[in-house]
Amino acid sequence: MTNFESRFNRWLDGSLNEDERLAFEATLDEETLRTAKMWPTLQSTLRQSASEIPLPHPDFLNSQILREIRREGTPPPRAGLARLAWAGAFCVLAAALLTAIFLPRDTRDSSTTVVSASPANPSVSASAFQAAGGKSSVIWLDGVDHIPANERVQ
Amino acid sequence: MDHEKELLDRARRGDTGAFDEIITLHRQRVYALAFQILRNSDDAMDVAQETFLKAWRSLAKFDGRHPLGTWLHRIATNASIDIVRRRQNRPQCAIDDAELAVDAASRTTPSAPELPGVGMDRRDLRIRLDEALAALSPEHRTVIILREVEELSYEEIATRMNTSTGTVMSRLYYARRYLQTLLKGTHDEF
Repeated sequence: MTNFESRFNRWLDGSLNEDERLAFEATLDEETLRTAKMWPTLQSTLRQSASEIPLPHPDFLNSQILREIRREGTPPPRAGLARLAWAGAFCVLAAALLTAIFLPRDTRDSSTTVVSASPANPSVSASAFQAAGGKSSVIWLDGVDHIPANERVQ
Repeated sequence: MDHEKELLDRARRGDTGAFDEIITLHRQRVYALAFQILRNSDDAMDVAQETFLKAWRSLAKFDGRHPLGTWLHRIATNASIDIVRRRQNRPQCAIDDAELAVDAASRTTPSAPELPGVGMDRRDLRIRLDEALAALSPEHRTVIILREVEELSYEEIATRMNTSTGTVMSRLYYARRYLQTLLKGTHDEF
């Protein structure tokens, strides 16, 4: 691109300042100057003709597009879905972080072992701990309505 | 615009009826833009179809910061430019800068046959303008359409056409000079 081409474009765009415009116009011939005055007419004609180009078979275009959409059978990805995924990932990360920071450390004696416990009733959760040497055990039950009399610890 | 936003929301939820309405609202301008660049009805129809299908698949990416029409036009422009590029790979009779009958060093309006003395009305001007656009190479035509009709900046045109701003300005210069030949001898007739 030459300097003249650049100035010519800027001149036609009307983006030269007054001094630049006068200096540039001094280099042009009368015909070019007069023609340039008609440029807005050409621009508006160009824009108007663009808006009047007839679309052949407009409804056919719609039907073709919709047929293709149905053929693909994929709904558009929802706008909120990606954001929800990110929010979910963030929540999981935050929960992990908070757990690591605030979850009370296990203060039991290191000789305490965790024993697996599997209650027959699925609505009951059980945790069992046993001290070293088997001298004592703790069984923690959640969800038990009552303990049968014959099982009750005295 | 509110109605369009509502249609957009419904389309995002998978409502093809709402998307059908969106197509109807924008199909004319999308097709016209593609046709102006490509000068071929079949290609322009293909671009229009591709534009709306891409839009459907990418509705989630549309953030609504710009009007929907602007977004669709960007897709249509890119699809049209892709076709222009594909055509370049085929043997063709393209017109380059040197063939535009515009002397790069010339500071006068390029010569063109004078119009009949009785004057040229808008209809005549449109016919001649149409012929001149058809005679331009696809690259020159694309630049002039994006600048004068779509009113994009030089930088935006360069980005869409994947070229430099300098090349855009050079192409625009040749295209404008060529179109100016249309106005020669018509100064007092509007």
